[in-house]
Amino acid sequence: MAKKKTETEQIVTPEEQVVLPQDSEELAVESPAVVAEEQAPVVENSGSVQFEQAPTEFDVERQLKKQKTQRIVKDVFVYIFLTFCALLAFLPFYWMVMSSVKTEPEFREAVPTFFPKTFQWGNYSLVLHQTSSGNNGGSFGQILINTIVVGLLSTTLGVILTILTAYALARMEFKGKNILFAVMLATMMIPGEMYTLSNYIVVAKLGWTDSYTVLILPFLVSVYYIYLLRNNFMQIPNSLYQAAKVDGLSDLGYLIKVMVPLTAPTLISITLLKFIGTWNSYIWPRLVNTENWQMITNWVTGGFVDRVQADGSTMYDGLYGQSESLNTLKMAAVCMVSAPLFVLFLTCRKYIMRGVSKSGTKG
Amino acid sequence: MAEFKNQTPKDVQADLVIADGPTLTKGEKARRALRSQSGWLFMIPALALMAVFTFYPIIAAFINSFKVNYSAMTGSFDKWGFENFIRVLKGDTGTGGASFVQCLVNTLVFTFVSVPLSTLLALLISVALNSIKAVQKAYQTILFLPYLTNALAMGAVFATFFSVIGTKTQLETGADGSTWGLVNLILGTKIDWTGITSPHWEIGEALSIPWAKYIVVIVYEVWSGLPFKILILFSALQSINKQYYDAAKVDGASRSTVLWKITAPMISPQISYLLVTGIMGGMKQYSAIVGIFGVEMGMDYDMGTMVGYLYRYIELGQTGYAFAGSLMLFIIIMFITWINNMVTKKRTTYK
Amino acid sequence: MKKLLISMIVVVMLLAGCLTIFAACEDAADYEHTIIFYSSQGDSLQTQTQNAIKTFEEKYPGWKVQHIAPGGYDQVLSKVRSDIQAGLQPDLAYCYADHVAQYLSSELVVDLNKYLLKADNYDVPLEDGTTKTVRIGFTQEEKDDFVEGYFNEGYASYYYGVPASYDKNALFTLPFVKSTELLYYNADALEELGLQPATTWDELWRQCAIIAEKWEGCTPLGYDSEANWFITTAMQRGFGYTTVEGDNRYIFNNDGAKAWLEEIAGYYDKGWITTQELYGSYTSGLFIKGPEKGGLVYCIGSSAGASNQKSSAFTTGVTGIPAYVDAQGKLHDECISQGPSLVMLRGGHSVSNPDEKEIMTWLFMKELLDPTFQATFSKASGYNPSRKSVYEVPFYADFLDNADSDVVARAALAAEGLTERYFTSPAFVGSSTAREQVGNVVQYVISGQKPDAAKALRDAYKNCGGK
Repeated sequence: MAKKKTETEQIVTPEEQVVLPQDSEELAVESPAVVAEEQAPVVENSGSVQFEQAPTEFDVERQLKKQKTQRIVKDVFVYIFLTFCALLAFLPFYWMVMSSVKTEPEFREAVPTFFPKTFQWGNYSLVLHQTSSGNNGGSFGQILINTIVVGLLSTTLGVILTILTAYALARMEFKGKNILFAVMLATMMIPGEMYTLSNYIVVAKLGWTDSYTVLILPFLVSVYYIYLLRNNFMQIPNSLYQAAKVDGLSDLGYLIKVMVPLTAPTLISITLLKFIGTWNSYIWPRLVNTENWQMITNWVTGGFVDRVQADGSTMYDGLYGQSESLNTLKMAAVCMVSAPLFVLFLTCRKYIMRGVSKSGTKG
Repeated sequence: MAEFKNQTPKDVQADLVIADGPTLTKGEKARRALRSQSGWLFMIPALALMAVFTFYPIIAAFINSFKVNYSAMTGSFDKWGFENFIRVLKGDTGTGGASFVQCLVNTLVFTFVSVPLSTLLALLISVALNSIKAVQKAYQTILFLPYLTNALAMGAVFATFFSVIGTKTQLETGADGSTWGLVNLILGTKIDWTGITSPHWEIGEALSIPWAKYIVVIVYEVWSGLPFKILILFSALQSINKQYYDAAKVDGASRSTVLWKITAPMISPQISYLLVTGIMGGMKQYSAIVGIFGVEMGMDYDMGTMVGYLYRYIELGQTGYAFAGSLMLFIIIMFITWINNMVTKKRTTYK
Repeated sequence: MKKLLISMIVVVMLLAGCLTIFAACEDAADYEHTIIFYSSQGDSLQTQTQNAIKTFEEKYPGWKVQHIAPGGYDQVLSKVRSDIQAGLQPDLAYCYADHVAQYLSSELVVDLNKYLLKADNYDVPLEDGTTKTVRIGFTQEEKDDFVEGYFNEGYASYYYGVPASYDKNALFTLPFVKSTELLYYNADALEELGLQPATTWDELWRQCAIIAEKWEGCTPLGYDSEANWFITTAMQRGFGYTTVEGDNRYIFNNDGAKAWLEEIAGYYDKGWITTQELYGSYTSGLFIKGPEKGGLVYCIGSSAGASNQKSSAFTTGVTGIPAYVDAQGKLHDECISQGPSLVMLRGGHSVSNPDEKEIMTWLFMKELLDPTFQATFSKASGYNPSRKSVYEVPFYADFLDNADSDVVARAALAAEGLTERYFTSPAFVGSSTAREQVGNVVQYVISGQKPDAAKALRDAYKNCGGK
């Protein structure tokens, strides 16, 4: 009975087909740029196609020339647009790096400078020195180990959970699935801050404070990523599933052998985002764990008040209060800690793209 | 493509039933019955964790929202009732500043301007990025940089964009050591964007536009939301099979047809995902407001958002109002998401 | 199907495995014999505190102190608040009075009168099974050694909403180290004008006129904290800020406040004053520039921030903040005291020996209040010690003698002279909101964002929850 109902629901009504182009024109009027942007690749990708159409045109030469200038104009426009966006995106990063090599007085100037007057690389050596002195909260080595262990476990387990759950929601049929999915989506609407205290009380009752468990378990399930992956799974043609069934593949086999490779780009994105999230977490670790069980970002947000350099001399001797933290050191530490993420992104980006080119059957 | 258009998992099941035909053996029937519940097995680990860390807190908050004069510290309360909800809605909590309704309006404005705007911008950038060959990788990396940049640096940059620094005398004379912020410098204006200081001064164009503060918030949200959206949309665009475009060309499809008949449907699940999660995230906006305007959230909390409202009552020790507010926030987002689903359902296609 | 089941089991096992491994890895802290202390100290100050911890641990072998710094004062507050709800409260914590007001309803705050002057001895059980006998309380002499203005703020009479289970004269906190506000001045500039540092507000305003005329584009006075300005003025002029009497906590919405706000708004219009919010950054940054470059001549800021007032361009002078002279010619020179106090909380981590632990925590607190430790800590931090005898500890006295060359020492010396001038504001749930709100009022009224002072006060009153 249910089968019939869904079948009728899925029939594409003529109205719907009419609605689409109508709507698109409206949108196009509002944002001609969308169309303009989109035309560029189409023209590029189908140069050969145009020749096939060419004989039907009267003035092939002129037409081609016109299209060529059009393409150049569009390319220029695209590059200007992208460069502008890239500049805006680059600015905070630039700021972070530049701040890390400024001197503290320059950093504190009310009107900030765009380019450091003097480069103080000593900030980095001072921060490196503090990694060994253990003067910034827990010991750096311990905290680094914590972050790597928690990051790896939490990412691996999290991705496995995400795949299983997304697959069940996308491809399996069981009672209450739709309600379950709706409930899961609904939980995304509760501000995370509402959970924090409750979760803390729970882990305190369980005696999990000062452990890795407490850093991993509460954040393992991310409905955001489950939702994303579910959408991706649903895009994979059913023909593959049927073929797999014919080949005698079980659900799990199909998931591992077909679905996972096909959605590799998204999975790698999720892995990347999840790892960045764990790497940057500090509020929860600070609440539930003491210093030796905290994460690297806790170390970064620490004091940085120790300004005795490796050679025993003091930076800015007497200029700032002894308990006052130095922002430039903080920035240098932030840069150092963000560097692995940057490398990770570059690596992942390659795989995201490679995964895409491999999965030619997709889409 | 059309073959799989608009198919949902239900169709899969339907297809299978048809494929298997009516001749089912007893064993097969039993296996199918078992299989039909095996989905739960896949869900168990996630559900177990959610039960402890998600559902339990929500249920607790739900119960506590009905406790009148609830104290989180001691767990004591006067009686059960709807007073918390009534007082929150009426703005009768005994405390001034932005009411729940004003916070709701702010939140809706921020969300429904910034989410579509940033999604559209992300789409534009992704399409543009997809269309170029040279330095594509470099651009992609740079565009993702804000995601890797510490919030500390983001805040500092944003402050230099908008913050006005200087004494009254300095700003009047434009003396060294005072600044109207980078944005004013570029626009050649003297607008106090974050609205803390200027109306009194009547220096040049130092007028506070009432909407300036909203613009600042929206710019921030669009800007900070872009990297994630670009990552999602760009990888979706990259995975569209180029054969579709070629096939469309052979069919003589126009460019706008290609965009709206091929590109848009192909990435519509991602767009719908970004819109839904973006709206949910936008409705929960809080940290950006505090980052820009401080814990006061503007003048007398006038830039307050709903989560800001909750936080304020938690700080005031009136957790009952916070829980009641969060429950209403939940219902509101549910409603919006439901509408959104109704609208996007028709547009989203799964092949 | 089998495969599926097996893999599900593997995932669950993996989870459970991790869980047990990590749970086993935990070196279960011995909370029965470890005192948990939260502070907002930065690293170099934590090193100082480590000395006190060392002394304590050597004195009482087998007892340990774990010092945790969750962040700034607000982080300490929110962590303690969460901890109380989770049953994991620390034994000792840095606090401001308004924090304690929030902890009170849990009834876990220890009434320190229990131990303050207790002459009894206590046998501290040590690691090796022996005991060590020590006097629990302070002597009367030691108690009187505390700066009275600091000490008194711990009494229940300054709190509103104290649970009935507490004694009327309960003592909730002891002062650790304190700071106050000081008037920093550009000694060279004043000398050039032939002026003496102002001691009253009227005198200060007269000098502002002269300064503003001399250096065009300079702003004569910067006051860092708008809220402190309001609260201190309310005290000096006596128009009232908050109270524990009656039903209404907030009494700042009055004509005296209105008149004062209008007065300073006038000075702001003349370009004489600025504040941290209005300037957009710490005013000390403006002060050290010197008036020739558009800087300040006078700057009112925290005594703990003295090092920021040091300039290479001129000599920085330090004195107490100006006083208010009333119609009868009487001088009102109250000034604010800030900085951390210490609060004890009972029974964290559900230990089996809460009484014993309470006494040990008290003994550790005594180490933190020891004059020699206070001297090292004050010297390192720039805060002022809470006990008068610290000024006689030789190396601290030497440090103060050095005042000619060091702004920090000069500030410490200036603060020593203010010990009779401190006042205490009432603490209750919402007193920090009142503080924020009056700070806003100053900012809104003088910048002209809310030119109507009466309305600004009314709004602030409502924002506090006043009816």
